[in-house]
Amino acid sequence: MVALPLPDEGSRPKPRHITLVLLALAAGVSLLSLGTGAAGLPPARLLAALSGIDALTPAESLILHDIRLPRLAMGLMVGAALAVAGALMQGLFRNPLADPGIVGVGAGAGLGAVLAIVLGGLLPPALAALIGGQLVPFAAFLGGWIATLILARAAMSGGRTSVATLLLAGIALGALAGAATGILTFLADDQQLRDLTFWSMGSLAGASWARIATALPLILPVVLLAPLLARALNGLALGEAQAAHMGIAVERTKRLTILATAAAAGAATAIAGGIGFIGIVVPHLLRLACGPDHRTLLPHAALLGGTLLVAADMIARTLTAPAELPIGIVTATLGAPIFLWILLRRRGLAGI
Amino acid sequence: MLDARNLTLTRNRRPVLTDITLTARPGEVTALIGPNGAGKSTLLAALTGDLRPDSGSIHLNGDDLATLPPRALAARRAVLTQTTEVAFPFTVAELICLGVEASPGPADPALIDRLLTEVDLPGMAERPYHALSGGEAQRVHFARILAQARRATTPQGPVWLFLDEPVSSLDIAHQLLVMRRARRFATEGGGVLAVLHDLNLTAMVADRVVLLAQGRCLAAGPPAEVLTDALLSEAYRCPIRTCRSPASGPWLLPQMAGG
Repeated sequence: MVALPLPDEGSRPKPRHITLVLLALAAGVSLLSLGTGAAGLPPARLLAALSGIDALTPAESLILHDIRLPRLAMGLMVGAALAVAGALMQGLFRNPLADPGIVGVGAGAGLGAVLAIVLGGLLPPALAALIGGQLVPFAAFLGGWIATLILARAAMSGGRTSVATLLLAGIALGALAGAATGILTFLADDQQLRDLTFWSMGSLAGASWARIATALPLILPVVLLAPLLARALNGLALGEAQAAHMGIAVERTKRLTILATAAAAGAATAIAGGIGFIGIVVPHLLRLACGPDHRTLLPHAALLGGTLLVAADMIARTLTAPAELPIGIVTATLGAPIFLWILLRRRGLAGI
Repeated sequence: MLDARNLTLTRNRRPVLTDITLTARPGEVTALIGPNGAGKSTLLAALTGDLRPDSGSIHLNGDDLATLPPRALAARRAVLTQTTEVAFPFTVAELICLGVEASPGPADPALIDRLLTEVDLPGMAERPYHALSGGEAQRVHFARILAQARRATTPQGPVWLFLDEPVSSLDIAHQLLVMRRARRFATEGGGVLAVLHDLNLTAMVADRVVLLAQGRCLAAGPPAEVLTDALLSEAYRCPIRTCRSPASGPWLLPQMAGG
């Protein structure tokens, strides 16, 4: 493997300081996000209400509790899930370019969602009643899960993880899912077309407490428990045999990590659609800032991932107000150049 | 006591190890030698638990290797592999810390600095691993496994070092430094099993030598009994002559082939 750009010797800030900075950033961005939007609840009114100077009118209270707060919560949750899933996957595959969105999980989830949007009406009524309004998230989650399992099986043959196989299998999987999605798009009617196009670009616009409640049981345990995998992932950074020599149950770690990635990334994609690059940019920035130790990387990734997605959502909401830009466009516009920058800095060096 | 009996291992339908029986004692440095492809690394992988043999048994300090969970195994043996690729930009100290965390029990806060001095990398703790030379990197990993095996003996018995070509990237001074440190580990009561290529070094540091050829154990015993013209010539399939050097230990083997 190769060196990533490193700060000067000994200049790494203390993890605690980074945590404080990230917490402050998250709080600031959250407040800003609550005070931003098309409907009239400006930051000044919000601050006045928060500090008890002035009470909110019923209309303002409705905007805050039913629109902005769930949207903020969903942004924090989805961003945290994507960033943690990215960090986990990078640790598992020992490669800083692995990302649920890049290696085909996003495409799998997308196919699941499109299947549900286009063919959902064909389900037997009993089953449809059971799943209710959550059919699209459910199908997306299933699709992402299946894609993760196929990918893991393909990339980890013979007890070794081949990164080349991983990326190629991801491309193949993405192409296959894309083709199937194409067929379904061809079959779709106008309303379905609109639904699936917007789904594929990602958005927090559908945020509601009900949606959050469906994804939270999958995302929260992963975000909270991921640090338990930190020591094992640190060991895996030296290789599977070396990790085993250091007392790490390698097979169990791999299985748990895949499970956690599929759960978090699958659930996040299911409720918010295809949002790329959070999973790749956030862990990379954090490794630059305070090193690759997964014990700090994983919780920090959750914080910064949520903050970045909320910030991206603010941009998506204000740039074309009162209309909304799909958030996937914002994250891709900001994230793709960073991804390219990582690639180019590593170019000519072995290990990809 | 490391006790392996009748190990047989097949990879890709090719027998790599055939009926190997060997023992290694704590307090000694046991060297594993043999030509390329003799099965040294495979045997080491079987002895460390990486590969499960098709048949035969391995006992480490009296316990069947197959029944020990990874944590328990890591508490009683540390392994230095031939190559280690580090995936992320860890610093030297962070890597050695992984070794400290790999085995239970408290560690002296000065341990990392002390180990770095022992492997002749003083003051390198905060260096990024990826900026090191090949020889420096190899010594960092040696320090990492010394951190894992920071006590040579525990209440559960002696601790073992398994070293796969520990000096392959090192200059002669550092070869001696590393082998002397391994030797000291044995003197403190631990066990050392090292795959070595340099027969001179083997003669110098080993208490016991196991000679492998074509997946079989050709000979095992003190260097004087194993490092003989006949056995070495047979194992390496080229005429080898050994010389006696009264000054520096029992045998000296110039890299001499011929007649």
